[in-house]
Amino acid sequence: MNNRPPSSAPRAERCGRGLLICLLLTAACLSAAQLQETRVTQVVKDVKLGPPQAAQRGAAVGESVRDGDAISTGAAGRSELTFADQTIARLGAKTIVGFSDGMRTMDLVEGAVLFQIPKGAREGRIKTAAIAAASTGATGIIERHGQFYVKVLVLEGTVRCYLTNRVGESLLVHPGQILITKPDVTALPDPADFDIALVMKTCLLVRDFPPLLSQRLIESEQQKQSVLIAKGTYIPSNLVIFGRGTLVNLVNPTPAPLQKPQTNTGH
Amino acid sequence: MLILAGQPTQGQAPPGSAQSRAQLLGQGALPVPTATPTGEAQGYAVTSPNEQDIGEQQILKRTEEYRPFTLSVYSPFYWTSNAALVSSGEQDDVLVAPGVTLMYQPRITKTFYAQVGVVQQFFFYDQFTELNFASLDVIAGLVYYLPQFHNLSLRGYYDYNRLTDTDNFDELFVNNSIILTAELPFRIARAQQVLFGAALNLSFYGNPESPRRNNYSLYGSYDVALSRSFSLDAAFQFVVRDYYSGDRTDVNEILSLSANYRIRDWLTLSALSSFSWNQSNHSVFEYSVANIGGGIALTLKF
Repeated sequence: MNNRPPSSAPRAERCGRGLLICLLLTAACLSAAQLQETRVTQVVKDVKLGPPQAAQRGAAVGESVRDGDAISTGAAGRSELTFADQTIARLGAKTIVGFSDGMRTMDLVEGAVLFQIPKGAREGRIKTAAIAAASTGATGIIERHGQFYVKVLVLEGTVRCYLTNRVGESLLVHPGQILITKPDVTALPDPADFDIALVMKTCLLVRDFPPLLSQRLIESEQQKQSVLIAKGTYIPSNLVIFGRGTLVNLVNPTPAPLQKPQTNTGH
Repeated sequence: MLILAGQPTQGQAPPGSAQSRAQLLGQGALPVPTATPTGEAQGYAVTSPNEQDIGEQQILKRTEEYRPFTLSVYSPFYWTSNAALVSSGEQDDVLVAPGVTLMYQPRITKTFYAQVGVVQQFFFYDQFTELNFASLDVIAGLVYYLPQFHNLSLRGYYDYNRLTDTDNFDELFVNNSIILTAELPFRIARAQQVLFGAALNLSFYGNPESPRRNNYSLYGSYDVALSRSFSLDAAFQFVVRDYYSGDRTDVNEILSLSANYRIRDWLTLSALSSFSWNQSNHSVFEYSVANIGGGIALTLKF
């Protein structure tokens, strides 16, 4: 029988392992908390925040937004949220957005959101009706107007748009492309092209807020588009969407040899 | 080995056999153009509280740069269970079928195209080299798309087909035919498409006479894109072959399955398989065959 007292070395090893596990767990928790931490960085007029099931309170700059919260703006209200990974979401007037999936998913109930997801950030996703727009680096605008339409405009980067209730119904929307569809759509239409410069000049979610971090990337896309317009690849049409009665007529009726079905369209 | 008109043909590939094998193994020698759904959407934008938030969206129209020339180079290879397409005593073999297609499709109107093309393909067998042959097609015709009828496409063209051996390009068979096709694509979703078609292949001159035939076929295909680069295709074709001589009529079914991986827009790797069954009012011409292989295809448009 061995009566020697147990060596202190294994105990120290166990303590060391325990400490390491605690440190890793702490780091993971901090990281998760950091990812989930989103703050209100701009408030213009009437903006409300809080869990949707409870009475919402007026939002203030610096306030935290948590998973499960919803934020809404009034008729003249606007707001900006900044996520821990520097993703930015700017809410237009009469906009309602909920947050889920650890703040990675924004549920756009109504209104318009300008989003700027920095390159290298985790995938950000905005869902509205059956349509989702996801990206790991892009700046764009998504608008839902009741049961009338959903629009996705991409200013820089690439956004994948897909239907959440249909496998394979997915397409990439590239800079300078606009996707316009009904909220209850069963098949996504092909995107059209729009003038990035004009949107940047007239968009209040750009003009009334500080410059975006992706401003230079957008300018670069604007420049590329100007070159294509100068070369005649793009012809500015007389179709401008800004109000009731504007005819939106995106015509490209020329048939071409069969394309295999693809999940990608665009340039 | 294949028996043609009651004659055993050991040692030399009969032209009729080459004709069948060219049809079965050809890398889609003749292009099958159909129409894509047109990109048209029409409606009125309703007033939105977010008009000023988004700004003005000036729609730009992209001018199409139409490229009428298509050059394809491909090299499928197969293991075939029945190299000579015979009813008994089947012998398997491996073959490679490199080919090149050059097609010119000038646009006459937005829905009306002319089409002129040349297809040259070779069929080299590993063991039964006496079956080696080459196939040349020269085509000229018209294609008409009808977007208003679910993107129906109608096609009519003349096809000059010449089968030769691969050593001296001595002629085995020459055929002149008029081919008429109608195709109707149905897009199930962005990533899936079903296509139905019918084709008439009417031979009006051939030499020698015995392999000459008219083909009446119905076909369908299903394509699904599982990712941006990977797609699966399945196609089935039912053909009645009415021969000009020997009171011979065959019924042929072809099932083909393929998986395609697009490395670049112009480069595709494929896994290919096809299965064919032939019934005839002369039992000696009945056969079944399975072909399994792969291939690489390079396609350039300019």
